[in-house]
Amino acid sequence: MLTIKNLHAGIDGKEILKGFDLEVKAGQVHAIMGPNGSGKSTLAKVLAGDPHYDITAGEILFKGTNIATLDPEERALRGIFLAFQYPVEIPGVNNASFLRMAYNSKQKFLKKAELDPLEFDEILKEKMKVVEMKADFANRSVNHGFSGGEKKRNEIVQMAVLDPALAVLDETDSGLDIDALRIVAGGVNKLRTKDNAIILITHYQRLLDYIQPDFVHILANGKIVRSGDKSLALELEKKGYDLIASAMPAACEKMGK
Amino acid sequence: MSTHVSGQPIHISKNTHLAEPIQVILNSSAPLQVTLDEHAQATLVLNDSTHANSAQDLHNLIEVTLGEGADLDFLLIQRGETVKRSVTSRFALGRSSRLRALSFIQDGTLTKNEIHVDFKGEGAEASLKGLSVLEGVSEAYHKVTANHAAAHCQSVQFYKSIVGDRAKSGFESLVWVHPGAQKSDSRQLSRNLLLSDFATATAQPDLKILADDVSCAHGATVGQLDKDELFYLQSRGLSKDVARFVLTYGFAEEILEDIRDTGLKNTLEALVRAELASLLKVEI
Repeated sequence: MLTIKNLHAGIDGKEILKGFDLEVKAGQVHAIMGPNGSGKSTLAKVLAGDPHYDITAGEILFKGTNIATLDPEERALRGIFLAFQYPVEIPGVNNASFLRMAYNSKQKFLKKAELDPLEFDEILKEKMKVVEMKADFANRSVNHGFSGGEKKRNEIVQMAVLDPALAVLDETDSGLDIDALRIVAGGVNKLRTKDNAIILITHYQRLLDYIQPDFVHILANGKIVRSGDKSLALELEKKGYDLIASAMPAACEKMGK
Repeated sequence: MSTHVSGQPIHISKNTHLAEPIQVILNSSAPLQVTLDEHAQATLVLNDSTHANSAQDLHNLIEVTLGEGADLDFLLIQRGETVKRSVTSRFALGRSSRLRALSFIQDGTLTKNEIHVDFKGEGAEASLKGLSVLEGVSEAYHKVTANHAAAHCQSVQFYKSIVGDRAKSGFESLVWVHPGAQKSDSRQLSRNLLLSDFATATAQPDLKILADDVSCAHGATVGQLDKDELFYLQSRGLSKDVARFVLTYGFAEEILEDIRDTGLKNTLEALVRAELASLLKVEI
């Protein structure tokens, strides 16, 4: 579904991703872990098409098409979803009408019928259950005045409504207490199918107790230095990022670079 | 909605609560007197748009007196492209009365909207809001004075402008807290959104405080649409144009969302949506 080859990208002339490779197939969950500044969030933003970032080399093949130069909305319509680390507050725009616009954009793209508010309301009600959103959520402004936990849950509601082929969750666990983490992770698990794929970007192993990844990759200095199964995350938790970083030259050698 | 002929005074007697808004068409320069007696309640809608494109300049003076515990929703709509117009509204607020005023300006060669509030009795509250949506070479100016002459009164000003093309928006506000007006509470906030490099907005919130136990806050911002917000909406599949529209409408809606009469709220929201769609050249 997703193949990233030798991706170099950065912001304001500073290179952050330095030859990043990744292969993600339908039905898989990949966790990408790494210390602060390793390039995790850059990867998330670059996949979604944040115009602040520049891609200087490499390609991002999504369902066979290089999407590296597409606008963010084009990527979204083709099935990429980014759950933001810091979701944006939009006062004056309520969740229900915003989500209906997003949903209808996709329906239009897929040449399917657009829904009126009443029809959409039924869908939204179901999707809100995924992360136990209260009924008043639909009429509140998007993320405006939401607690940190509510914002992260809202990202998962949006994911549920838009039903993406590939979801990139950027530190969705950060700032969540244990109950909120359980609800958010539970929501993600409900949305996981054999046809979609998820990339979990996280600093901590904790999230992976709730969402079991098929693969774990460690990102350091803009590229993946180790890949493994979920036991790698446990090893990382035990040894810390310092040990992994010090093992980097060896890892790079092994990769023939 | 009942329609009132401009020039005739409006008088709502004691304890009377009007179920329907009164609509006033401002079609002459005769001053309008409005009086709400004790604990009376009403909604007043003043509209000068019928003369929107007349060559004649419009000047109106509106004088409003609120008795003790009276409650007024006051909505002033100034629309139209070619006209020059000014409306001055003076409010005298009695003890524990409530005023919610909202001034909406759309386009116009030169529009002035002046609001003057005198707090005469203790415990009165005024919420003063304004929204200007300007395109072309329109110019619109809001001028607000809140005269805190009595103690324990509250004035909250929240004004926004959306300025496109080569249009100009101005906000000038003075909160004057007189000696002895202790526990006065005032807020002045002006937010301005520029949609073009040639649009301008100015904001001047001023304070004159002659009492020592008061709470006064003021602020002003002038800016453009936030790139992170645009990216967030685009990442959900909205085109850049629609994302701009949604953010701009959201900016305006913060002023409109508290209009208590649902019919008026829907009418004004539809008007703003249509105007913004034209300004941003999107089909909604």
